[in-house]
Amino acid sequence: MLTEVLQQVINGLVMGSTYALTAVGLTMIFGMMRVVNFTHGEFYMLGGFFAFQLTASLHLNYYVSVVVAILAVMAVGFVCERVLLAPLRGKSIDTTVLVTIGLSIFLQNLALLWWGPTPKSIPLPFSNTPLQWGPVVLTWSRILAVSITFGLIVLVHLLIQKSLLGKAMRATFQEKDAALLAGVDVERIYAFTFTLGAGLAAGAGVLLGSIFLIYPSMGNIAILKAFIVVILGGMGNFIGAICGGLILGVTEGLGAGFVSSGYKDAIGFVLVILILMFRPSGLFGKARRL
Amino acid sequence: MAERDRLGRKTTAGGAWATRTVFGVLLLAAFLVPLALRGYWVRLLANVFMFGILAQGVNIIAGYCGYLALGNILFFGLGAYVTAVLMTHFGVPFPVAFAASGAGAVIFSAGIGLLILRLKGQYFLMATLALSELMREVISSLDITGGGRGLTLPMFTGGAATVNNFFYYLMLLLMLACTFCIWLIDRSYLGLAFKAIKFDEDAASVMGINPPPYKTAAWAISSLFTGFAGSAFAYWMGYIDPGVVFEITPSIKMYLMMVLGGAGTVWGPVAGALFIELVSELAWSRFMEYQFLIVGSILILTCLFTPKGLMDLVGKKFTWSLFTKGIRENKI
Repeated sequence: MLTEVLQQVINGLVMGSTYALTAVGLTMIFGMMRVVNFTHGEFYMLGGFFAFQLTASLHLNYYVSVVVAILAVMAVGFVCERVLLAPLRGKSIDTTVLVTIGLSIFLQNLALLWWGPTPKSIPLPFSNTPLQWGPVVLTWSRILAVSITFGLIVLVHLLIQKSLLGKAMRATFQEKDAALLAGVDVERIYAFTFTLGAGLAAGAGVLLGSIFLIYPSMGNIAILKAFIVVILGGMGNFIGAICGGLILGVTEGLGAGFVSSGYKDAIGFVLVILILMFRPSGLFGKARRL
Repeated sequence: MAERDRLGRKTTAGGAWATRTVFGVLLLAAFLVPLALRGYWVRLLANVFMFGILAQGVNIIAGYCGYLALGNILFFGLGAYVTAVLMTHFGVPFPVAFAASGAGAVIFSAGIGLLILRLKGQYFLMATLALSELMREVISSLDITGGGRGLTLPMFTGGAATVNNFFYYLMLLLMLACTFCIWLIDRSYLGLAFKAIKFDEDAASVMGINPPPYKTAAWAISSLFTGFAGSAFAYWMGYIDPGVVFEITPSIKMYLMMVLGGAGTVWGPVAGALFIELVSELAWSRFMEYQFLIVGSILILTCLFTPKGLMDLVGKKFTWSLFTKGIRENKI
């Protein structure tokens, strides 16, 4: 019984860190910039497919292709932000949401045309045989994903809390006009934040694509989980995103193991509705009313 | 010409006879279609009318009241499942199940609406999305709904032509009823209150409109339309499963139709439904795999350039400033 609980918790933590990884970029775009970005799942998917294309067809080194894939998605994100989202800034959120949905459908079906519906796997430079530590089973790629997740989240957190650029970002999203008056180039901050968020989504796509499989609709479930995690952890709260991801993963793991596996995915949605109704600033934010 | 009534709307005095004639002819044609056309076209148009109902459903909550209920497909699924469960497990006749679907959707939306309509903008949107996903998960796991295997409804008795005609007229009448309902709301104090809430909720509440009851009413009406559509769809198809009735595509399409035709207008969403469904149906035969690329592009372009809908452009001279106006004054 105890080992079973332990294995479920470990599984939950591994799943939870993948959720956290997917959610970091969204914490920037949805949490800080307040853009309800449904394209996030497609940036995630494109990250996986670019890395697949580079390693499988062009036979590039795995680590090089990871970096190139992330940069390529950042370029896509930058163009989308400049062309589609920048003109709508400060206008109604409804059209912005619908534009990101339209873009998401467009990119997903473009990927479907280009790569086809069959799931693909990214060739890895290391073996994916499971490691056994006592009762717990893990693989190398999962350990890599988990450690990179935590590394990235800490880096982004430091960037935003400690650097001058981070200060400018926080100022821009809290009070755009005041930031403009203080000499912040607001448009560049918006473009930079969105691009970085897209890059983080791509990073998540590459890492999780190395563990699981990649297919054009892989972003659909990822983005739902990411939205759940961002709302759980509190909008724009990076430490909250880690904790939110882990909590979601563990609750799902335990729920699937001990209640019913049919309701596994329902848990997150119940949590979101409860959080939105009773504590909209998230589990880890300061309590405030919307 | 531009006289105004007590609610400040322009009253059209005469000169509208041409519009009325065209309108009357179209309506008459719609009722005569099943006599003249083959089954394929009758089914296609019934589907168009169903999307018209769904688009009118989001029109009330998002177009008039300004609350983007992205998860509105929830009521479609709920209506479909109430009908399916009542008809298969309890042997209830269709009209009763149909009424129960509408009632179920209204009770659910009013109950949940009181809780989540306090949320604004993106928070409301996320909550409705979470609700619809939750409903899908619950229905996929329950025994009474057949879980992921779905439910097979009792057959509609009659030949193929009878079936086609029955659902054609059902969808047509339902769509006309929804549109008539929106027309009534548009002319009433209720509609004015909805528009005030959309324009500025705080200002509306200062002016003596208490938003929560109005928002709940808007969502309840929206869910009623959508629930009826779901019920009729379930009986029409004869088989439903969670993947079919909670599919994400119609839920996006109905927004596209509303925005394309004109959010917050009486006939816009119906025109949008007709346009999108006919275009995608005609394009389907040749460009099956490009279908969603086109839908995505139209959604992006519509939201960027004609957020008020195509109907808003009718009768205006096309200039460069009209083209950029959509971006400058971007509001649906």
